[in-house]
Amino acid sequence: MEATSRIDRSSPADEAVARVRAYLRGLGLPADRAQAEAAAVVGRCEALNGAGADLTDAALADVMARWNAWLEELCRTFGSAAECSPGLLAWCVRPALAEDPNLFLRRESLGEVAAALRRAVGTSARPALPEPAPTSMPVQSFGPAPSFLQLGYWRGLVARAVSVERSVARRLRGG
Amino acid sequence: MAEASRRGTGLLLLLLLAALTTAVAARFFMRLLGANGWGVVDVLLLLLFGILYFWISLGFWTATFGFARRWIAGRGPAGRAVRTVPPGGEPPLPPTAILMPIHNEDPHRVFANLRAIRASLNATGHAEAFHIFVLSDTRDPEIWAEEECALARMRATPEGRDLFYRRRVENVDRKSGNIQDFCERWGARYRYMVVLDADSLMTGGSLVEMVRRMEDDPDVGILQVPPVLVNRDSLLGRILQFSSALYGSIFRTGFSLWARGEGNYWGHNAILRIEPFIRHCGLPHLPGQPPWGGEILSHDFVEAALMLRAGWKVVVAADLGGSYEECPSTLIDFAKRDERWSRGNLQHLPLTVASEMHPTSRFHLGVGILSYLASPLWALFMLLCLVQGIGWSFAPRGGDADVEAVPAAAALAPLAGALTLLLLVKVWSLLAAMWQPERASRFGTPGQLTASVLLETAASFVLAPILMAFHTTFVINTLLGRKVEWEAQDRGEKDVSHAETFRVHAPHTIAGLAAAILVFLGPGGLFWWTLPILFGLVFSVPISLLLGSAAVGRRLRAAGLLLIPEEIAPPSILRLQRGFLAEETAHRAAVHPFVRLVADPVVLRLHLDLLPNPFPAATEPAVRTRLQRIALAGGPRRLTRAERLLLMQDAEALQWLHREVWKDWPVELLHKAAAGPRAA
Repeated sequence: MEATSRIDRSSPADEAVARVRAYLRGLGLPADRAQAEAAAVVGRCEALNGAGADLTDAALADVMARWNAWLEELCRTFGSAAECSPGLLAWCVRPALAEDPNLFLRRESLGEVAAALRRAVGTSARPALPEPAPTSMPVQSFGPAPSFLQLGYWRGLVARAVSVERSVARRLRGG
Repeated sequence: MAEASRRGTGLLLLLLLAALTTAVAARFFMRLLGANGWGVVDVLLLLLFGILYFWISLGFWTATFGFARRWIAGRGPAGRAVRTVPPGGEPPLPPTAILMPIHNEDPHRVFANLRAIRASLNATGHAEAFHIFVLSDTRDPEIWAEEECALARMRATPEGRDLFYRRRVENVDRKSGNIQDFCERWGARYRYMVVLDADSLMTGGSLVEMVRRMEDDPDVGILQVPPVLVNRDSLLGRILQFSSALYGSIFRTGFSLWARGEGNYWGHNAILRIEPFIRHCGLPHLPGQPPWGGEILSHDFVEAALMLRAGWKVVVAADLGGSYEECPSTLIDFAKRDERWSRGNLQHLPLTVASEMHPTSRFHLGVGILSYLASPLWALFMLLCLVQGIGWSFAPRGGDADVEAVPAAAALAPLAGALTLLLLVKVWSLLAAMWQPERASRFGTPGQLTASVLLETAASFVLAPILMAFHTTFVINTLLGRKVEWEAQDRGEKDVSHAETFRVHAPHTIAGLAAAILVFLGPGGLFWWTLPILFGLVFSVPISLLLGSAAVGRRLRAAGLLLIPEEIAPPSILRLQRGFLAEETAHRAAVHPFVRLVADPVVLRLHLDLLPNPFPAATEPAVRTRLQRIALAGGPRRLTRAERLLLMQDAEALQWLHREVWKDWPVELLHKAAAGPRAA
């Protein structure tokens, strides 16, 4: 990430359009529809917020919010949370949006969109995990290890040997 | 009951035959040792000789059992035993989970393998019985991000049905903890689980047959289908593949013959009955500090032991086939894997004598330990032989009990005997293949097959001292309590690093040279006796480079050498896997995976959905703010791996970054990162 600075564009509106266009392309929209939609969104934001506002910020926020809302709503039409993951659904609908951007751009037909997508997506958008069925694994043991594998055994053995050696030495000295 | 009483007799027979063989060889060796009277060194030598000869004999008799079984039964190669399924003529199979536990593995390879398995299952008509779980313990943030994209890609394919993905927040108890977590959360939903490794491949036919065999015999707790090595190009990989296909075949048959229901589990390519596994196989932490204490590293043998202890059968289905895995392609990667395995097996030492352990399990655990302990024992044996040889050369000549009075045949007999046992295994394998022309032709022409055996034998002689040096170091390191990282295995083909080869093998070369000088200056004749061992050590660097060479391996394949049946007639699952792998690798991210994650709205959404909600470990607000700023200003390369991981676990931080990068980063980069269906 060597160059992270903003790219100079001829105007804030141009830059906003370029960024929103790239974002919409990222959602899967084809270049021409992304360009037209980006220009429309930026124009709307400009009209709403005035020329002095941060157009890029406002336009991107608008598109992001729309995308998230669309996805959540679409997911709901697919069924309960147990049947649809918005993330996996987003992945599945991206190629479909490349084919038909109206699925996203014309919100009023969401019911039809869902029906069409459900057929195309199948079970691909189901959640990443099934419902859990909790149980627990009891920890096993292998029984006690034999004493000769324990340090105490050898310590004891050494201590006994030392004590025997000392007592023998004492007797020898005494004798 | 009759079957239960028969169990264990195979092992007794094996032990008896190995003991008898050892006793005969030891008799010759004792004659040699006792020629100059008995000393401490002689006694030590005899002890070591006994252990090592017994070890070789176990392998020899296992292979001989397999050879005899093939001879008597006239059984064909693996893979013949799969039943054909009458469509619709069988009740549905019980629910079975296929588990793929992964940890920092290449997601493209993992998911290509899973697609191949699922595609193969789809063709059986029993696909609905199987659910696939990818159980990720991945700690690398970029691999984590790639895993999620690979999951979404596979979900969108015909092979994506009933595919699930879970990443654990904490990598508790590694693979065994990963499996335990599955059992505790979803195990009750399934009757069986098939455990795979990241490089495992199993055909749908075999998977279905495994379930059927479990259904047929309700006493079986674990059914292991021994995997065959495939897909390697390097010389070492091709040698290992060839050995596994030709020699491994009779070993596996022999093992399953004597083990019967008291076999072993190798951690993957096996089916396990979940209910008894949950009840009996919860692994404890061993008392004490690592390397002996703590979590059980090589869990598979221990789980098999726990199943046996609880009265369940552990069966090795050597006849089943359709089970594959890959092996390391370079000697250094092979050694790295062996280092982990040696540590895991040596940790079993206290368990072999634990009070509540089935006798056959003690044997299996002991064999695992001796696989690595044999090397330092061999090294010690040779060192003592050298000491003894030097001693004899300075001993006074002409006495009644002089070593020269021992006939040369008696002196050479133990060595010749050991070599014969080792070589006979190869001869059995060659004969077992040759008497079935159809099977032999799957290794090339008879001439190519024989030449391949000779080449493999020569390579194994050169390789043996290097492996001995490696294993000896590993055992010493374990005994000294040195730490070993238990990282993911490098599974792909890769170029051998010259610098690493020199660094790793320098001690072997130096030790070999020093020993060569010593024996050359020592008593006459010793140099020539030790030459086969010294050669491998002295030339370990070029040998390692040669073994790791994919170009040499491919040239040999072109010449029809070291061929395996899967190369001559690739099974459909391998063809599927190659196709899916090519497809998968085309999806490698065009930008840094972290950049794609924060920039691509779809990838981010996917990631956020897969994060546990709420995430158990929250990031400190001050830390989050600092990391966000660094990521935004300098990109992911300004952050450490741990910092990227922290950000990836933090939904709020990622959402903030997503908004900010779209305002701040160059449009060209964002366009590339959020490539959409053009690349995803």
